[in-house]
Amino acid sequence: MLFRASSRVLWCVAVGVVGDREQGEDIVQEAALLALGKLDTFRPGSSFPAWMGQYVRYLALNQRRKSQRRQRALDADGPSLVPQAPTAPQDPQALFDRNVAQALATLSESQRTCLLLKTVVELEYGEIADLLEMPPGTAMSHVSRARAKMRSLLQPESNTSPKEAVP
Amino acid sequence: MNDPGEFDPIAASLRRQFSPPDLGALEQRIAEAALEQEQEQEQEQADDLETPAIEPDRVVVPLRADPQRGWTVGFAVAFAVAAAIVLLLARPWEQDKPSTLDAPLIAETPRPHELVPPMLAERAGFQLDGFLRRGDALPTDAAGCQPPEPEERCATDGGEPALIPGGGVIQLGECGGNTGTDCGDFDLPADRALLVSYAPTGEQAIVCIERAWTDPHPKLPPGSPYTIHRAELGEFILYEITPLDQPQALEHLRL
Repeated sequence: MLFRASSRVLWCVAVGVVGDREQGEDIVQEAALLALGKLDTFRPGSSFPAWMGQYVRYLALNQRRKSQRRQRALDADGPSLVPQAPTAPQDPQALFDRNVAQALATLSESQRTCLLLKTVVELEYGEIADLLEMPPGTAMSHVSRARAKMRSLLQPESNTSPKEAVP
Repeated sequence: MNDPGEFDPIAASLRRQFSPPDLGALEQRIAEAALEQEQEQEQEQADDLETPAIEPDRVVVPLRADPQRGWTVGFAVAFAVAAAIVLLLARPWEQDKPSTLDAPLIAETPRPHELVPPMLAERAGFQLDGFLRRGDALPTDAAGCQPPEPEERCATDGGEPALIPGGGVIQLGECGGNTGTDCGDFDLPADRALLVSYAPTGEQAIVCIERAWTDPHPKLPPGSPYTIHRAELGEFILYEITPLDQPQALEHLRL
């Protein structure tokens, strides 16, 4: 089944856009059910991941916008009264992972999505380009800039948070 | 394998944290839904076969738009496009697309009910109206936003779009693109958009590019000084929101 072959990639797209892996599966499921109802718009011979990817991105963007609006509403209500839990001591790898996740969150949606697709599911630039409807050079540029920004944020010498050293 | 990101600790951390989970259960659910849908369709087809057609000899001729109508040459365009039609859109979309914009303006197309609740049309129009009313912010960058560099840039060259600095198709989902507005203030109803400044008067407009199935059919609020002009381009819907009575940019769009 085409979906089975693409689900990991589509999950990465969803997570790249919303920036939250917990929402990835729900978005992909919603997109798949939506796309099922529109199968007649899929042209045999064209790229199934790219066709499905448009539904995933659309729903993920909607989800992200909803989250942003919710966050703005919370911010407008003033500081949260719920105290922050003290950070428990973590092992270096967990600490580093947390900083990597924070640095990833600072990237643009396109940068984050391209970086995850390249790094995690190891797509070629051409495949990323097809999936995200951008020229391969743009996909390459997004990945390059994303890496550069991540490195600069995670350098030990950097004063920018997150600042813990790369192990 | 010479990729510089392959073996660095950041990449390793990303793989640890963002490798897709086991999606077997999801795949199974989708497979079941697909099977169910297939069975429903087969049942419907069987039902159709049992029911004779009411007027089997009647031929229905689909309406066809005259490709020459409405978009032929015409008026001298005097606008400087602050953003280009950029063929960054074209590459993946190029299969079976017309080479020029030859579709007529369309009034309304059916909206997908499951995606576009009625209120969205008003909300989308409100966002577009509010965005254009800012009036002075195009096309500077919003503080804190890092808009992607446009692949190509455009400007007016003797009435035809040409490339210039400062514009490009933007992906509005991304930090407001280079719309010059804070990401959170506007939620424009488009997958991509062009920011347009007409020359020589300098009025600003926006052209939204949206897939037909996500088209929210924006309705401007009462009293808005703008009008919406719509067109189809391949499988896409374009709408130009402009202070002018006629669209100036739509006819220049190409895939």
